[in-house]
Amino acid sequence: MHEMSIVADLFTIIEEQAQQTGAKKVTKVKVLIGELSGVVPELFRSAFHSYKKGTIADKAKLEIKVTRIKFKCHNCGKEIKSKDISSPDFSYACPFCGSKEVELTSGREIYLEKLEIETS
Amino acid sequence: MEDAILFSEHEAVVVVDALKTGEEPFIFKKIKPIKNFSFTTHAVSPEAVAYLCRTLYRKSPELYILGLRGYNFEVGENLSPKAQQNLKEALSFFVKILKNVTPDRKISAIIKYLKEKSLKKEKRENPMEKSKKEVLVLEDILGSNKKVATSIRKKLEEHGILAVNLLSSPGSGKTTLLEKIGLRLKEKYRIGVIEGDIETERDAERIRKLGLPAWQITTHGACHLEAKMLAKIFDQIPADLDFLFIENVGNLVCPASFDLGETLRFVLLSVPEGDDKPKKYPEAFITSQVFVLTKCDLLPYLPFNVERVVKEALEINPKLKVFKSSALNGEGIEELCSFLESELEQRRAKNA
Repeated sequence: MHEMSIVADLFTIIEEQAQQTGAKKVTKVKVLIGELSGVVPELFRSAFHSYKKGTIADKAKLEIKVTRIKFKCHNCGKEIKSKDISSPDFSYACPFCGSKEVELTSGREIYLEKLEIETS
Repeated sequence: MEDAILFSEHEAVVVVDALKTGEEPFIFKKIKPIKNFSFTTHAVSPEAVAYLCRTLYRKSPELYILGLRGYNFEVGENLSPKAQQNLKEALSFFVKILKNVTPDRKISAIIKYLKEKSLKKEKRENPMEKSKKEVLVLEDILGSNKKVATSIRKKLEEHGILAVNLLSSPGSGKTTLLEKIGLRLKEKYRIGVIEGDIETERDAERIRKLGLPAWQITTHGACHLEAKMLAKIFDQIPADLDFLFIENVGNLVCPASFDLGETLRFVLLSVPEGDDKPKKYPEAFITSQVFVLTKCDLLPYLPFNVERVVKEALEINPKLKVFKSSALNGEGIEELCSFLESELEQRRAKNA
């Protein structure tokens, strides 16, 4: 359950952003969580809602977008949208040319995408 | 008295006068009948007139005061420019009200309507000010950890230290493997070990018994090490180390998300844990460069398919280097140590 420490880092960013933008309140928080980030969205959600109490985002809603795994093949240059990682056919290789020289371009991120704030 | 008669004949009355004090440019407020007569008939308040009207004629018209703020009240004075401006504003306000008058509409309703209208207009013109606003942030939530990790990585590179972050579930043999590797490498190299545990110094004590320096980080509940925990003790790490081993908290899930600034990441899996683990814990395998299968001495006694586990691990990370080991009978220790030595030499040659 490392979601709580990630949520703590999230709130550090939220507080910074609130200060920079002069927000009186943060009403919505949207995060991107990669399928391969090791973060469980449900746990993240419950950590968020217990952490937010007494902060500037006290009443904020949380929106989580789970981003899928994507690869780029260095051999044929194709972008690959991967199958679900739990599928038995999942493979960290290019389905077009078979190359294993692939790079993960999406799926590990844990990002704060945007905030909805009230300035007055 | 004649004013009271006049009041009684209308549904709404607005009393207009100049005021010596009060708000600029004018006030417009509702007043209620009050019984307050003075004996000089020269100054009867509108409230008192309304009281008379109600008492004598049983009529209660809507009653307002439009009070214009004035400044010079001496005889013979003309309107000062400021008073003229106040009059202009009061007039335009009052015209607005008159324009909205209908037989069945009270003044109070008109005022409410006008207020809402001007609020809406303000909102249209300055939508940012009173409403919600979206801020695009796009910031890595683990950015602060990565920043610290990057500075640790830079320091390690400067000192030519090869740091290994060891990930596995509890009891898969991280400390025992480190003891064996430490014993084999300590003749030739300087080694340090950081032990991450939720509680106790037990692992650090085991390493110290071998004559190797060890630093214990107890996380008191946290299920993983973070770069900033390392940064706290980093000053104590001698700059002339060759190898720094970081034994993470026993957990195959959470530590995978946190970069510690290590040079290499090892994921360990012990034979008793089962051969179906890589795809169940993909992040640990995807982020590692080395996969060490431990407790291979137990293979004859357990249904464990080495081929299957290696195939599965390579499917999710084809670049993984795989080692089979047993700390008990020494299998694979030599290979692991030579791999580490050659990695160290290669990196030093590259940076030299």
